[in-house]
Amino acid sequence: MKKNDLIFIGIIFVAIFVVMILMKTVFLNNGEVVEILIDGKLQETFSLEENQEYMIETKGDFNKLIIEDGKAYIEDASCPDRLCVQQKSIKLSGESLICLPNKVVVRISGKSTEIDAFAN
Amino acid sequence: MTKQISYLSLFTAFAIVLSYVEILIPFNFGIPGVKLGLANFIILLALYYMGIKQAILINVARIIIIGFLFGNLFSILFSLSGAIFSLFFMFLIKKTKMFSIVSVSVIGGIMHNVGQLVIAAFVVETYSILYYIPILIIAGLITGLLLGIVTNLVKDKIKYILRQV
Repeated sequence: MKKNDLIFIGIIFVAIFVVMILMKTVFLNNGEVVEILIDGKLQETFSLEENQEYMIETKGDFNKLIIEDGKAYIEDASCPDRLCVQQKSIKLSGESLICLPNKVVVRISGKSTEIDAFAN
Repeated sequence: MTKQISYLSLFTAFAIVLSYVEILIPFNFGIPGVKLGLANFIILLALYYMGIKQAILINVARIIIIGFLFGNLFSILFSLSGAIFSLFFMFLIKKTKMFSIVSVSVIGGIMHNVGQLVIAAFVVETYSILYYIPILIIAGLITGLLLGIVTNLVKDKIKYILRQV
């Protein structure tokens, strides 16, 4: 392990901190709404405060979304790998649950991200 | 020529076994895309003892076979994109000759995760999943570092076996 390696790893650490600080301005506030995107398009919005059970349906496939106690998670899905079901529940703005085979993204938004989307 | 093919097959088989072991270990943090990357051990050795073309060949073969055995078309696509990303940067870092195999492994681990996340963002057409980039960079750094240290220890010991390649 040469000295250059340690410098390299040090630079990466610094880069991580920089990225995380930049991201705190956009993400990581407490979430308010749950947005469901299919194929990149916003289909449904729910409040994080209201307990819900919602079946996301996509061309013969499904993801069962549960909103409970201010958290959202996927309980069941039709995709072959079911990675979305294994993902931890989300509640912070910016966090998301992803089902790649079904092209479904469930993400948490706060008021700040919604305003950003309208800048033209 | 046959010696090359024999060693390529041997390395590929080893990489497949490492991938299989990785699948057996429940490395689940609930975050999409975090991997142990054990097969990179072979890819690193191939990169240093054979060359970039051979490393690409072994990696692609391993991904396709593991994909057919344990995954699906989607997983092959994502693994391949992560691998191409990672091999590209590993090759660059190695070419500068300024860093040891540990850094090559680190950049490989990081870029594999980042590459997969970027492709995933394209597929679901959402930029918000890029929120996970810092965590994936950290995970890639740690796994790459540990694997790099292990590979570094082994690399010179097996030089006598592989010098004929």
